[in-house]
Amino acid sequence: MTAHYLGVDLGSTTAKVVVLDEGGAIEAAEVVQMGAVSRKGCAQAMTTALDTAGLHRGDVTASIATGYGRRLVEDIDRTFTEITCHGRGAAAMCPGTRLVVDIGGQDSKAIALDDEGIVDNFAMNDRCASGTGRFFEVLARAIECEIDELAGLALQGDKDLEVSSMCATFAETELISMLAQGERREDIAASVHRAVATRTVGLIAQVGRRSPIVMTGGVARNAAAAHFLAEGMQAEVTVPESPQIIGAYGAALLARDGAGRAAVGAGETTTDAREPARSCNTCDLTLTMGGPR
Amino acid sequence: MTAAATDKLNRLAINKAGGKMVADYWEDVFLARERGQKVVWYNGSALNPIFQAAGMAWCHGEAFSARLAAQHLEGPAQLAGSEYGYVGELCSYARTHLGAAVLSQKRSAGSANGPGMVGLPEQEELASRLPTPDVFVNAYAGCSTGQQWDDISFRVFGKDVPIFNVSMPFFWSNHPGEGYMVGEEWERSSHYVADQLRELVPFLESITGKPFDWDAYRQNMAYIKKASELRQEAMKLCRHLPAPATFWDWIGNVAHINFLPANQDLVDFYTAVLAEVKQRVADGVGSVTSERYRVYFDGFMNWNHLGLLSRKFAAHDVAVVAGRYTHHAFWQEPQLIDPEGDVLLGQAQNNLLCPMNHSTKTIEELVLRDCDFYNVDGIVFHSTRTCRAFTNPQRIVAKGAQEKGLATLFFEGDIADASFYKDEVLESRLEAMLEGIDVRRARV
Amino acid sequence: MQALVKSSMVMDKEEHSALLRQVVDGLAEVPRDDRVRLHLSGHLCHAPRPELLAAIEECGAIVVDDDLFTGTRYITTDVPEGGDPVEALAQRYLDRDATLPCPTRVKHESDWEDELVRVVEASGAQGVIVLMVRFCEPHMLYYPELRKRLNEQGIPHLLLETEHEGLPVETVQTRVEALLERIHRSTPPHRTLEVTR
Repeated sequence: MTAHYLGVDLGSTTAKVVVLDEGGAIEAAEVVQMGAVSRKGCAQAMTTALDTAGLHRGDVTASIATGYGRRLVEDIDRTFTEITCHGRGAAAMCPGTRLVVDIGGQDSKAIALDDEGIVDNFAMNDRCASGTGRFFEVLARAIECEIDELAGLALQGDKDLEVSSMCATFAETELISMLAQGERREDIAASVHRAVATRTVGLIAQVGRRSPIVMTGGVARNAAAAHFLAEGMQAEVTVPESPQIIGAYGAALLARDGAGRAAVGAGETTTDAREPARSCNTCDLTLTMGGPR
Repeated sequence: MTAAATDKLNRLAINKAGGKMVADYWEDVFLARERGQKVVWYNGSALNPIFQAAGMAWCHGEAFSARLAAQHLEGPAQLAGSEYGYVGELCSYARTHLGAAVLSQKRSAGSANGPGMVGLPEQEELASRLPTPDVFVNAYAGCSTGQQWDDISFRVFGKDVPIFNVSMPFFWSNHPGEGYMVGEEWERSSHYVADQLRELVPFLESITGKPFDWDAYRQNMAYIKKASELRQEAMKLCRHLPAPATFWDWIGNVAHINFLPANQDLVDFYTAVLAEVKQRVADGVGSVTSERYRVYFDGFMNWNHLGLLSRKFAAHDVAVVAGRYTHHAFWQEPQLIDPEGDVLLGQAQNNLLCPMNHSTKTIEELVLRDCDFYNVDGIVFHSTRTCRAFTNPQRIVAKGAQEKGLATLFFEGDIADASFYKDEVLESRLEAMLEGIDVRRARV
Repeated sequence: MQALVKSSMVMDKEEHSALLRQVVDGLAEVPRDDRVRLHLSGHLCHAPRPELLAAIEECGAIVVDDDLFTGTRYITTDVPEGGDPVEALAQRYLDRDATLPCPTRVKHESDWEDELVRVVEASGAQGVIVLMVRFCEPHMLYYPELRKRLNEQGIPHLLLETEHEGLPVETVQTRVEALLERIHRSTPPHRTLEVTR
């Protein structure tokens, strides 16, 4: 029997599943939009991916779950954090990578890798949604466009407006008042992207600048986000073909590395991951993030 | 974003010429090493007349950070600080300055090597021009960070640069009869610090290898005394309606009194400031073109948004007439200086009168006294994120102000880190405060 | 350990010592397991929340040493016996800053980073978690010096900022797990096995 490896990345808004064959080639990759962390969405993504690969659950040799909802994934050998998985995935997808910038639905990370692709250091955004996918949703809502249209608009903007509120709650009012003052949607979109890039550069500073740089996570699909990050870093930023699946890909690779069957050091059980109440310390609000369950 | 398109702020014209004096000073500092001058790094207390008399070039850390922030050039230094490991909650003056220290160290070590965070060469160039120190002198009143900041600078430079610490006692005013410039605590602390400054002199002589010029020092202090008297007189004229100058103008020339060389130019500058203010009073010209409200500013300056804030308040017809920072931090008691007598005592006393170095009771008294003198409608509190020392007493002071019928407003921001400021929050709170003042006026 | 030190800070010493003897007598040697051995550093003024310590252990780590205020820092230095008691107490504070430097004291006799590396090597800790109380300026200022030395020595470490109120357990665990994964992945498997035996 040939071996197959399963990597599952259950994020805040999407579930990503990757199936690898014995040689590490991708047999199937699946992304399912959920709206909120959901077991059902995740199970569906797993089933679809296995179907695509023409496999049954029993054909899987080893499996690893990662992502914000990793402890919710059922019937999995063990879990790894997004940090380790994105590092592993990016290093395999883009050999030589030294810095991974992962921006997902509600958090962003800078992950420094050593020359063997092992995580050296990492930094995560603190407690609030500033500069994450959630933040771009706020932007899209304020300037009334679809998420997919943001990049096109932002790349046409040439004015540098000061966006002072990086808090998702306050940014919306600020953006609306910019519109009220007659600022162009393109300029607003460009300015928000630039502001997010500045924040990300700050996050990168915490781990130290390295290159080559690879951008992963859902936000990397936004060409403008990568463009402004490259501008802010004054360095090339590579975006893999499917930046969203890098975490799941890394998880599957770790399963293939043998980590899936190894003694479970972390001793985790699959339990309900409660949504933590997050106090955003740069403002006075307490936000509970994540959708209803 | 929300400030009016038309600028309703009528700035003091003299500050333009003043800006050049500050730029010239820094150029001079940047070239100090080339001239063979010894460089001293210090924070907090204005010990510059002493350094000047010792023939040294002096570099005030906070002033350097504030200047970078005001010019929107703080980015590279802050990133370098972040890369070195300073977290965002750390005093942004300190981490901007330490970032600049890392950059200037890199520069003096021949650059190139080491992790180069910064992608903005011209800005990095500026931050890294800070000359490396030959000596640290630490004398910070009311701020424990200041003391540790210098000690860490000492460590960042490999513990090779000598450091001199001056212990500055806090005014607790716990006993009856103690308070602002009165009581046994005041007397004791003044002499305690003056004695330490007396010990600083031979220490500096050992660094420069030259005898300290006491005559020059007395002359420097005479210039500062005169400059401060002129500044104080001009500030007090802002009691007039409309206010001939505002807090923003006093911010615009705070550098001069705080750290520019003590000389006739300094006196001439404040002579010209006073003349312009007097002329405005005579002509009935205001600093805000249509002043309808006047407020007091409590908090550290938000250097990143100086322009934005000054335009915003003016756009709402608000004259910010005075502030705890501008009015209580810089040689504000010139009568204590006796250039002919115990000149170090007046130096020590003015250094001790830092607006963070008093008990909350004293701070409340000072702020409310100012509010009364300038007849303000309310107080705007800048809740300065990374300066706990300035921010700590604010809620209690606000309560005292409210009891006196003053409107109060809090907005969040920071001294040198732009990211803590949220424009929409201030905008809506300011509007609400002014509406409240309107309603109150309509009732009377 | 936390409970033992914390209680000793507030209880009558004689009573506490008697109880402590009982605890010590009741201890038995435990064989070493394959949990990752960590050193906790920081929290200079008060105890970290018990939930935080539990969260770290739940991730599969064991804390083998620390320099916390309510841990080793408190018991690191004895009060000199004999002489004036008040002077002896004062001396103990001064001595403690030399034996285990605290960045709130601007002193130069010894360096915290040296001490940290020394004890990490002594305890065989595989990594360090720096617990930094939010707004603790001296710690924020000193941290890069620790980080620089730990990096030079190749000792993996993680900075966790804590607050007096509230603890985002999920976020903390993600970070701690990432540290443990990093330690696991940079430790060759056979070495782990040897440790297990």
